[in-house]
Amino acid sequence: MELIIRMKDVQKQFGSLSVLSGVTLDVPMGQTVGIIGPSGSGKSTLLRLLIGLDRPTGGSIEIDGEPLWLHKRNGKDFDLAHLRRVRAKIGMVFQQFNLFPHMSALDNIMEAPIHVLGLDRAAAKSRAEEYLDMVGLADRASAYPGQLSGGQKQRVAIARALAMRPKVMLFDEITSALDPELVGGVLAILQELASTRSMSMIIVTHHMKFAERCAERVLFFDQGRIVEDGAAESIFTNPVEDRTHQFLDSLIERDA
Amino acid sequence: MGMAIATVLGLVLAILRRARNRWISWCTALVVEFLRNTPLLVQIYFLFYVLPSAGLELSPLTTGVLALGLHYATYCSEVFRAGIEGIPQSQWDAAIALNLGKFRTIVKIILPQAIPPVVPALGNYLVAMFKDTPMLSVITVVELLQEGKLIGAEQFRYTEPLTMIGAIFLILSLLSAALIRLTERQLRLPGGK
Repeated sequence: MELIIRMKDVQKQFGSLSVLSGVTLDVPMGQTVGIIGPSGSGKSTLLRLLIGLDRPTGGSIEIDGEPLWLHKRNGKDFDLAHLRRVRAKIGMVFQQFNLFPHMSALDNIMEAPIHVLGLDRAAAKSRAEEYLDMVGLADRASAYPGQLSGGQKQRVAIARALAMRPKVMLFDEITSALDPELVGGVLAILQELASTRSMSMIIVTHHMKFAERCAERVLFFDQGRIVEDGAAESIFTNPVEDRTHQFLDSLIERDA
Repeated sequence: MGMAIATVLGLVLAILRRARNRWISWCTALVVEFLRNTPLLVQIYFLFYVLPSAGLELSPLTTGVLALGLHYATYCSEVFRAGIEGIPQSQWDAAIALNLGKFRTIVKIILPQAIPPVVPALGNYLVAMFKDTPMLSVITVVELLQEGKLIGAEQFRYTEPLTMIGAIFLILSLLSAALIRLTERQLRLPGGK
């Protein structure tokens, strides 16, 4: 099976703090992976490493068969052109949306297709409209982020990442900043995306329902390691590791 | 004219100071701190009397515009720097995740958000700069105040020309302040932040 992500013994330290201590993970093309675990377990850091926002302090990351970080010939500097080429295969959606507040929804989506992919304005516009329509916001194209609700902003952010047609999408707790009743709309979009299997998705989330419904495979993270890795239904109903059990139990208690 | 130099050069200085290359940012910081911490009058004299000996002969007016422009550019650069640093890291992250280049990110994403909040501070400096133009009289630039004194000397009457000049300064300053406020309003985003 073709692997889109290969991580080998990846480590990340901030000073003396070890956030990821040896993560090895293969993700096949088209698979949707949910990542759960307590705060500070390194889930978000993993995503930031995968898109090259942060550089790992150890181990290797390959995207679609190519290393993300490549030394230049002089052996010292990193090849940023190479990084950007590989990064073009990855899209990311953030917890706080990170829309550009001075641009309309449509312009937010059009910016990168025009200036990164080199599309002309007309093509970029029709592509942006297509994705806005897909997330159900065709009628809000000219609205500025300040005029949109949280859920709408997040849907624009999803459309913005999708418009780059990545092979992998990374979702970093994209529903954590939303009011509960707005989560459903975002969830539906992700389920729809997962069902087409046209790309791989990595979904970091605190909403267990979210992971359960979208992901076929779930990873449980704790203290910078993958503690458990398995099919979604088995992890939620019958986890193997004690630590996973504890974590899921603590969630149920909090909900009750 | 001097205002244009101050604004544009200030912006360039602010960006250079943030450069990743340590040499560039360090040299820029040095120039900015030097110009910001020496008196304008000294700089005006320096440009006027020392540049020609280095083979660069400029008219008094050009020298004056240059001196004011350089001096205030350093102030403006600090204002821009504050604006740029006020933009959260998450905006840079989003631009990187979309693979936008560094230059595009600064021009299209960061500056359009960084500049509107600092327009009032910028306006302050531009008005202050305008009010510093009489200093150029020391290198024989005939600016407003000098003109007034000349008229006074010819007519042996100082009250009217000087009052007049005060009034002209006041009106022009108020006008530019109003213009700046208008700009602020133009830049406000629909739906707020």
